[in-house]
Amino acid sequence: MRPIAFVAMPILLVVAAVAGGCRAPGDGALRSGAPARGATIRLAITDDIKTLDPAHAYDTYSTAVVHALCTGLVDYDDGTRLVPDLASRWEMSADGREYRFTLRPGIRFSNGEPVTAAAFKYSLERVLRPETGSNLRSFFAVIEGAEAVMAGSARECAGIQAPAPDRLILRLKKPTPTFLNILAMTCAAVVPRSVAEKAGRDFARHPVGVGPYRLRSWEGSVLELERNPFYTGDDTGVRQITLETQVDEAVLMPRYEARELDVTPLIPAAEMSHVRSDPQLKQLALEAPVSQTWYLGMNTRMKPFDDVRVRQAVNYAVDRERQARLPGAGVPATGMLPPTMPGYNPRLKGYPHDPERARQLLRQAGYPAGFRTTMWITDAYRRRAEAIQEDLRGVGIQVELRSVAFGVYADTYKRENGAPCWYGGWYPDYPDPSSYLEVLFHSRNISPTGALNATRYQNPEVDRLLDLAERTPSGEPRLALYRQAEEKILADAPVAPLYYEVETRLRQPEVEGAEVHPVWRYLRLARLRKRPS
Amino acid sequence: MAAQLFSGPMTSRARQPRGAAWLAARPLLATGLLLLCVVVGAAVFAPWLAPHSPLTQARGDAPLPPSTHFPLGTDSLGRDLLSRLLFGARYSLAIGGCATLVALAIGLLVGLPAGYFGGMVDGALMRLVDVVMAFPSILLAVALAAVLPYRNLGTVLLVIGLVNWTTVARVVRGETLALREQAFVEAARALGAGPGRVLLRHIAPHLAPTLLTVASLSAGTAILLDAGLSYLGMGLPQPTPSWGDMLREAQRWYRAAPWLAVWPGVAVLITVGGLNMIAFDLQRRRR
Repeated sequence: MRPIAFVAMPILLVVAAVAGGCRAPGDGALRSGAPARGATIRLAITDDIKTLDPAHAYDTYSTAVVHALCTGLVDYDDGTRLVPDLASRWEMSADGREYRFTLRPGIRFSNGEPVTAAAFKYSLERVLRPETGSNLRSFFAVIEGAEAVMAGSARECAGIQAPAPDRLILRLKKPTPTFLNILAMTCAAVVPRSVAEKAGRDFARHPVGVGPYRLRSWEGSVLELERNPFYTGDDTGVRQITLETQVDEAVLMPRYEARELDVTPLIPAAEMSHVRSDPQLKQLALEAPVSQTWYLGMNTRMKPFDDVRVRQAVNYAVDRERQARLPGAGVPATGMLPPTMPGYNPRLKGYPHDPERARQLLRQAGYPAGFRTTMWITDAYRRRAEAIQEDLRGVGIQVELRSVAFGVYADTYKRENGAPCWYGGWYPDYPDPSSYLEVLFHSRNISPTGALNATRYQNPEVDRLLDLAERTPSGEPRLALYRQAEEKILADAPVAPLYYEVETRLRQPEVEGAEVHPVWRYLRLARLRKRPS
Repeated sequence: MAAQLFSGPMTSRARQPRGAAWLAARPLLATGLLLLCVVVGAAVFAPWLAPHSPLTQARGDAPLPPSTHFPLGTDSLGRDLLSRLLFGARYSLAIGGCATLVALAIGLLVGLPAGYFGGMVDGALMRLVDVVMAFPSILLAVALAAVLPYRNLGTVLLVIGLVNWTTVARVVRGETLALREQAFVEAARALGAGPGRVLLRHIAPHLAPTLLTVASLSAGTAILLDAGLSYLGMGLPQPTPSWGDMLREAQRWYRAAPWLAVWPGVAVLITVGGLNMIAFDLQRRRR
């Protein structure tokens, strides 16, 4: 807890180099000279910001804002490669169980307080402690001694040590190839003990951290972020970001055209053909795939989906091309792992759209006249679900759509005998195949309620491959194991992969840095800047 | 015939005109009935009139403008708008009619005793009406629809009936209050008739003309409520062709495909307008 004054060195190492050096290709026209000083950026999202506490933020928009306010040891480059952020470097022990981090000198919180390794220790323990009530603490369960802190029997975590103000040691129970990915999540961001302890639950609305911005105000549906004067990283010249939440999708385009928005959070499907046919708008549209796969989930323990032929029939019956077209942008899915994900298998052919083959499989399974079933959805998936409903009607499967609030929907399909099938999307916690295949298809993730393996898919051979991959250090052999597991899963068809999400947005001509990132969804607020007009 | 029952003093003085002449003398009623007939005709003959199935998707991903194949165009999933509109009339009318029956039943159950007994009973029942009326009906309907385990024709019309009965109750109470002072009611009471018999045999029949007016108004409101519920995503489950649901989709496409909003809007206007014209005429004749 002893604050150490470092001589601020004119450095910022690799980080600045990486941040500045890796712009998206094809962006040459934009890269012109110095950014506009004192610029304000106005943004809007259709959703709400639930919390700004790194220990709780988990959804796309909350984490996007948290990431602008509170950063951590490591981050991603413009792709899925991990780079140093607040840590200048790290070493992993030979057995893969210990990570030693050296912190960048001279970093301060947005309230001016210096950042020490002890603050990192506190921040990680804060997520673990039961009184914080964080749903994200299981991510850190792999740290030695974490369970005692989670159970409340220990205040401090034995596996987290801060031997010097700039040195942090994390010891794990077992080698975990994805541990650095976990540290890149916003729940691993550093927060000042003095503020977090005093604020308690209120920290969610008054967060303090190390980031290019700090929260100036959050009133009603509008958040104002201002430049953090203590931030030593890249200065984009942006003084303020205004973020309006819960804006109706239907008004995004008119407001963009009126230049009230600098970047739209998406291009509505209804506007897509207009944007693509307008030469000027087309140039300002950004679209790129992100790591999300949409799928039709089937409960393998509920009739008739307990029969693999029925599940395969559904796979043949759905028109993936159309699913990918309906939201305006998308890529038909051939497997579960999307193209931006390490381990993606470009050789997978997937199930073609073949209603005749589907009917044949249904006959073989003893459903020559089809059957009736219920598909659980939320209202946001309605249009795409109606298209599936029509696809399945074509092969004799009568689907009733049950549209409910998201909470009810998620509870139901994750519950035993809850939903026979559902329209689902999965966005991984980090860019690693385990975050897809292990989470969704390992039999250990089957539980009576809240099951991550909601299809209740169970295949000992897949379990074995996933376990083996988990123990294998990062690299090609590990990815090969995941590809093998994925092929087996697709053959057993607990899901019908539909399409890979493509994120879209429109920027004003002077805005830069709004590129779609495969991991950080929505915008990387830290990268936004404006050219002088 | 029911209309003649309470045609006002103006017409009773002269010789009753018949048939077309009678309708011509009441242009509002005639227009209302005509509009309603159009909608009822659309609903009854939908399977023969519709050029396509209301569910078949032309496998598109954007609405198609009107063409010879799709006279009014298609929605964003490529379903024929005209066919959906025609079949939508069935659901709208069914909900409008049945929800009104529910509203009438509840309204009578509350309004009759309130008006007849007065005092504490009246006070308690009318405060209940006030409480229900204090909420905007669409909000109340959304709240009720949200707690339903699932939505189908039955539950949706029940929800609408449950928020739509207060006007009926108030009108029934007012009429009952006036009727109970009438000589024929007093006579019945003097002959030893109990409250149940008096209400059902002597007062209720006299409410029929009033109820007919209230029912046409209430059916219009019910159809609007149904459209509102579907518009908010709380109506009948997909892919039911419902006018409110069509309007809801139109909102997303209002720039790219404005025609999506026009047709269901016109359909709601014709139906509710027709019902209101009928109600307005009936009400005017009674005065």
